[in-house]
Amino acid sequence: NVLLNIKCAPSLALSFSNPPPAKYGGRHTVTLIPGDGIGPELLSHVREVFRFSCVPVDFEVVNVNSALETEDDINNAITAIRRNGVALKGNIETKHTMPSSVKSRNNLLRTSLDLYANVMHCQSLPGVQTRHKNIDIMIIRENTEGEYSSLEHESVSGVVESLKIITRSNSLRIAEYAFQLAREKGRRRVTAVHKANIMKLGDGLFLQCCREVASGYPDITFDSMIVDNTTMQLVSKPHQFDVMVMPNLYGNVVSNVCAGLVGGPGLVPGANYGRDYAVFETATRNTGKSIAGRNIANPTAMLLASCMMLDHLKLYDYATVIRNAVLTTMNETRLHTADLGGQGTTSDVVQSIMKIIQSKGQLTADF
Amino acid sequence: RSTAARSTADSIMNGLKPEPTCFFEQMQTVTLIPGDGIGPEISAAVVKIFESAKAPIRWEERNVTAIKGPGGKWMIPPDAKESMDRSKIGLKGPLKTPIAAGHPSMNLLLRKTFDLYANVRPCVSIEGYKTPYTDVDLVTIRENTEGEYSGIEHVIVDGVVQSIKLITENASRRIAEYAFEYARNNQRSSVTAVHKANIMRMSDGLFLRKCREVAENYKDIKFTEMYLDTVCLNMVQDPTQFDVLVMPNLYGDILSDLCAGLIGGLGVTPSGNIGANGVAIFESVHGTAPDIAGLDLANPTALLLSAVMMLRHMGLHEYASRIQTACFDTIRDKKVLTKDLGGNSKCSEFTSEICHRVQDLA
Repeated sequence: NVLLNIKCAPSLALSFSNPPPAKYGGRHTVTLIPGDGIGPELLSHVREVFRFSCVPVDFEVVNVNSALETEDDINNAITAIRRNGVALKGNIETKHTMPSSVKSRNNLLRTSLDLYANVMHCQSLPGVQTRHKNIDIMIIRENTEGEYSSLEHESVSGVVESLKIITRSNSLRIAEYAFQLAREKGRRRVTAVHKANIMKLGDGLFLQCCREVASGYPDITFDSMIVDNTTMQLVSKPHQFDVMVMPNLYGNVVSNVCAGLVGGPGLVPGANYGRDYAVFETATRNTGKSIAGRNIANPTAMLLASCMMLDHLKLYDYATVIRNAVLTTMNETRLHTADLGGQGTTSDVVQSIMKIIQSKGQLTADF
Repeated sequence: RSTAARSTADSIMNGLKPEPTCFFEQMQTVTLIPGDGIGPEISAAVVKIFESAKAPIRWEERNVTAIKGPGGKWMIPPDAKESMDRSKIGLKGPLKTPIAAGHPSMNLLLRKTFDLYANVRPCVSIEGYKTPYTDVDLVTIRENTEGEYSGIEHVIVDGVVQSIKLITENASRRIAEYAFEYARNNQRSSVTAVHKANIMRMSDGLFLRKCREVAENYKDIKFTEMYLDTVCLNMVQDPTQFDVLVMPNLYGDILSDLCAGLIGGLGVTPSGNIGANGVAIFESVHGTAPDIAGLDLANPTALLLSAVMMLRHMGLHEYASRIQTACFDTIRDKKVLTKDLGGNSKCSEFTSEICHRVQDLA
């Protein structure tokens, strides 16, 4: 029952971006981008679990080669997502050996599809040893502008300018999303993270937009905190935070700090929502090059992300079964992968998950 | 209050006649800026402890307030500038930042006056002051003049704001060189450049390139590079994997405060600022705490550890170790602690305890 309450309630907020209707006999088609590093192996495990559980989802695989300078691959992926409406992806590597005109493929995907809200829910899991217990923080990060505008130029030789763009419309949009989500999940407080004492115009605008939106939600407390103080507070007193909303770069920092607090990159799923599309991935977007191909990566984050995707497609029963199985396995300590201090391999964990799904009696394939 | 502190410092200085020492150590002058709020009392505490240690330091007290110079430009008082230019070493307490005073913050003025390009914060776990993180021992070196804090912002059209982050070759090279020199001089084994060159390809890419170039000249130090988000992720899980971190301004601001949070906050964190012409100003980075100012309740640890950093910078390692040991022993023993450290002793009692220990360690 505790497990059921943690994550399974279907989120009404997800209905902001309407899922595409299921076609072809009730089966959904979802774009799958394997990416680099541990992406391909984790996503193949997701497919394995989906096949085993008879999930009515077909994956359209689109490979993106990070070694190429042309943008054809990523444009194909974007087209596929426009067609299917939903995607599940691994992280695509950004190679430093390429010229700086070659932009991050992940960023291109997010901005082209206008996936303006990155949502991450950090919860302490009972089976994972961490320094801080009972953390429950939702992080909503503006996902398209800010420091990630990719607008840079060398004005004079040896002097580079990088532009950070903050707009009123995007700031209002993300603040609105944050407050709506907070209300739907019954959360009491929203904290805006900023550095408006230094970036008076840019972050000042962001903060002002948050305040404007906050005035429309009198049932929710709104406060703000400067980003450096926020990180200091997170490592000493994380329980003071409830829902946090922030521009792009601070979102990057805060979400990684919170992921580290609850147990690491292998545990937390992330979702990127736009008005028309939704893309699911691990929250901390790591390529995991050093552990790729060794069967030691933690499949939890990617599997939980796939459950978030199933919720988005309104396939709640399948999502619940798989999620419960993943969380039950997590609480059997000897089945932790190396990142959690255990000895288990990725396949061990996946096998355990499938065994738990089978023991539920229904939804399994006859081989 | 600052005049009271000045007379305290002077009386401590004058009360002790210079004793002939076996080693004819040169007295070195340090410009002392007590600051506001609890600044004067913690500065007096540090002076007292240094006296007990018989450190060869001659304090020259100066105040910094913003004054308008010829041409209308805000500047620090000329006697403060003259003292610092001569002594090259400064120790500073917290300065209050007045709102709507019409002048920029004093910290910013000091930074610009002396071209303080490197902010150095060693973060070491304090035995006896428990936090969830033990065995932290790292140093953050932050570029302090450019980056995201250039202050260049424009409203492009109504509702669209552009902030400019500036990265230059010279500043990046300078900070990288400082980081590697620091690592070499302090027996640190590795330097990690923190960046986001996957997203900010040109700007952080330039920073990274300069770090790599400088690393070529320091083959005895291991050089690694890591994304900012990966550093944050790993820092809260296992901070022991980090040694010296070098990074541009904003990341440095965030990470240095994150690391301060790991060891117990700004009340126990030292900080040093290195300037272009050999000037170095060491400071406590906490606030002025006006609510407890003058009540003998303040904790001088941050300023004391910054002063220890200063001694090391000046090459006076023996005094530095003794004072630091005395401070850490006092905290570990838990008998005489100020309120923020979990005890209920006064600042003067805490200071006296450290003084006794320093003398015992001689």
